[in-house]
Amino acid sequence: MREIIFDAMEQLLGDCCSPNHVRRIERGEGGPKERAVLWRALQESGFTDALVAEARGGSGLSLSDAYPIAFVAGRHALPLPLMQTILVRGIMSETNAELPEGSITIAGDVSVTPDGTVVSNYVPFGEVADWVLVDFGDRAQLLPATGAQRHIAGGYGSVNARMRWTNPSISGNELPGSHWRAYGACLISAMLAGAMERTLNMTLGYANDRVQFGRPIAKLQIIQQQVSVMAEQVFAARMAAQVGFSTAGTRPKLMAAAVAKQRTSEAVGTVSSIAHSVHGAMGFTEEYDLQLFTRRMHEWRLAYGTEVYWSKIIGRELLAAGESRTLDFVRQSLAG
Amino acid sequence: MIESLELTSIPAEDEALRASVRAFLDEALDGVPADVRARSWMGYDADFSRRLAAKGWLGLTLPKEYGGGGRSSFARFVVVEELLSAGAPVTAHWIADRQSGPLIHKYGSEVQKKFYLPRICRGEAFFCIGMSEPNSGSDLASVTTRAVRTDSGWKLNGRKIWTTNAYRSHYMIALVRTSGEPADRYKGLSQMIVDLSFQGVTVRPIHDITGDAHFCEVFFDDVMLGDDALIGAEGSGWEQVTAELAFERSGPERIYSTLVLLDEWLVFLGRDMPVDDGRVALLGRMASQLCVLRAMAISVTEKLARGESPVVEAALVKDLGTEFEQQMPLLIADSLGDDPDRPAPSVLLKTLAYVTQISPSFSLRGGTREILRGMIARGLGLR
Ligand SMILES: Cc1cc2nc3c(=O)[nH]c(=O)nc-3n(C[C@H](O)[C@H](O)[C@H](O)COP(=O)(O)OP(=O)(O)OC[C@H]3O[C@@H](n4cnc5c(N)ncnc54)[C@H](O)[C@@H]3O)c2cc1C
Repeated sequence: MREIIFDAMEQLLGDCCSPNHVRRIERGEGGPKERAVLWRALQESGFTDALVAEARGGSGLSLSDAYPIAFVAGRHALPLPLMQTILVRGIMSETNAELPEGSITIAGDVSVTPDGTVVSNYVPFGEVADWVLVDFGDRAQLLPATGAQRHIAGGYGSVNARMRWTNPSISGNELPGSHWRAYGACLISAMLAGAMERTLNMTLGYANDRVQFGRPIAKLQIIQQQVSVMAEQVFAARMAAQVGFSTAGTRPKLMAAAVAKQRTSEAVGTVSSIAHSVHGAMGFTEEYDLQLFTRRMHEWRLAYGTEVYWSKIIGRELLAAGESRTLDFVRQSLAG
Repeated sequence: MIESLELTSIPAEDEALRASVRAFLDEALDGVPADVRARSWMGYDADFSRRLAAKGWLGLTLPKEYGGGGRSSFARFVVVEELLSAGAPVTAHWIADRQSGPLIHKYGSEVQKKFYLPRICRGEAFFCIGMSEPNSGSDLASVTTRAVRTDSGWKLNGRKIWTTNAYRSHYMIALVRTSGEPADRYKGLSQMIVDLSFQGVTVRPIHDITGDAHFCEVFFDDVMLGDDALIGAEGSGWEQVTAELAFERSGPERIYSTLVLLDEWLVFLGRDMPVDDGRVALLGRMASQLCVLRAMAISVTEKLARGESPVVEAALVKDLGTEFEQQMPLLIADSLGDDPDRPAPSVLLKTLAYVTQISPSFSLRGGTREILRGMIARGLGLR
């Protein structure tokens, strides 16, 4: 199942989400129309309803089956919240809620002022999404992105936004709250793993092609050692993301999601720095695609909590479990 | 080429072994202090090894006809995980169980299998690895210990070093030159089983920086071996030793041999220390890394279970595991020392000291960090 989905996603994004498309959407070139074209292609592929029950016209996949969708989205730096949309639609379809048109992202945080204004300081994909799922703790609700003031919350090319709804028109659709940051963290961990794998492939290709001192730099032992270290981190990140997605249901488990985001985020610094170092000045240009991935890696590390945030959650849970063997905690509450 | 590692779970029938191993260990290790248990696969207790054998937990992956358990590598993973994480003294049988037995099973003659394997499974034959020599460490193909043909077998001369447990093992599987010169490299090497009680074998233990003696110098002076000492084909030593190292590196030692320290610290944090963000984050980070390393080790085990030889993948997990294990004593020491007014219990400090001292060896034995990274680079297509 996973292989079929992987190949189908690769084919789809290979066609409709080239590095050039990514750049245009990041820069807002072509306006909302450019995004709408890409979104339609994703929707027509059927992937947006991957987790929606078959009875409601979806594919009825488990989160575990859907792992390659998020991974490949990361491999192509897909600038739209496909995986977030898939999860929210999947979970909504388990209720009577009507499934909305358009893309959905998940807010990373929320605060509500006394006059009822809703603010989220970091909404990954907030700049390009149609809907934002905001977790108020006791409940979670979809807010229309069009009703919000948005400011880019990031540097060059970022599609993350700070969003503010002064008079939020709360739609009737309520979902249970309190876990959405973990869900967002889990989803983005697989995208992180995909982006990191892409930088590894680019780095291997570049090291074999680039010639200095009369031979490919790949033949220099120091380059080999550095890239091996990078590969180790990418392998660990890929495994961590799979741990996060390992459920036969639709919802990530809290500790598994925590491990997924902790370990993938921790890999970002090493992977990005070795990728750039091996690529030399070329990798530092806008024109070369490496930056599409390394920029995102740093943003996604920050999204929904960094490795330290999730380390604290795991550590607290481990202490609260009163377990005297770390391995037992890992076996029982993490690896399922 | 290196293959991706996919998340796999341990089959239920193998997981089912855990409860009985755990119950046995709870009793056998009752009252053994953490700093002693921290030695784990460096801890020697021949009687303990034989008790494990009596339970059927040695040679688990060897066929039943040779006294083995006839089980998959997942079964061995479960037993080994329990033994190492609890800090059981397993070094007596460790090398035989992990690599010598599987090596003899793969390359040995029927006579050799019938002789050695049941003894290994009963905990009566302990083995050591005779690869390194004074002038051949990472450059293993340069070994100069030599076996020369005689009318009835082989005459062995030369010297091995760093041979773990040679002074308390029955046999060594030695990599030796049987033809050609060191310049011939991989050609002309063979593997011999040497009975360490034979005339002409001298073994001298070497103390390590923790004060323990496990590895040794071994001298061979005209040691007369029978025809049956040769394992596999003459001249195939290099291929065989590579397969043997894959067994060695696929084990989860590089994830679990510092867990006794982690758990001792965990209990101290839970019992005696106020909850503090820094300590909690450190604990959580180590649990998270452990979780991912374990998932990777299980994935390597699955490849073994399918009969593959995941040489490069095992090197990758080993190197990553080494980093985790070598960082652990540094980070825990940092945390323990961040509040001198709350002294740690002495057993925790002793455990920390042992793990700190032993930790440089993690990235040496079984192939150095640099050698492993070179293998990964080859798997990635860089060499
Ligand atoms: C506790 C312990 C137990 C051991 N048990 C056994 C045993 O039972 N049997 C056995 O046969 N051996 C055993 N060894 C030996 C172990 O296999 C060797 O230590 C190891 O292979 C390295 O060899 P060396 O110590 O001679 O170091 P060297 O090979 O001299 O290496 C020194 C340094 O140079 C680096 N280096 C060497 N070559 C290269 C290269 N091509 N590229 C880059 N860097 C390089 C190394 O990585 C290392 O950093 C044991 C060692 C220890 C510490």
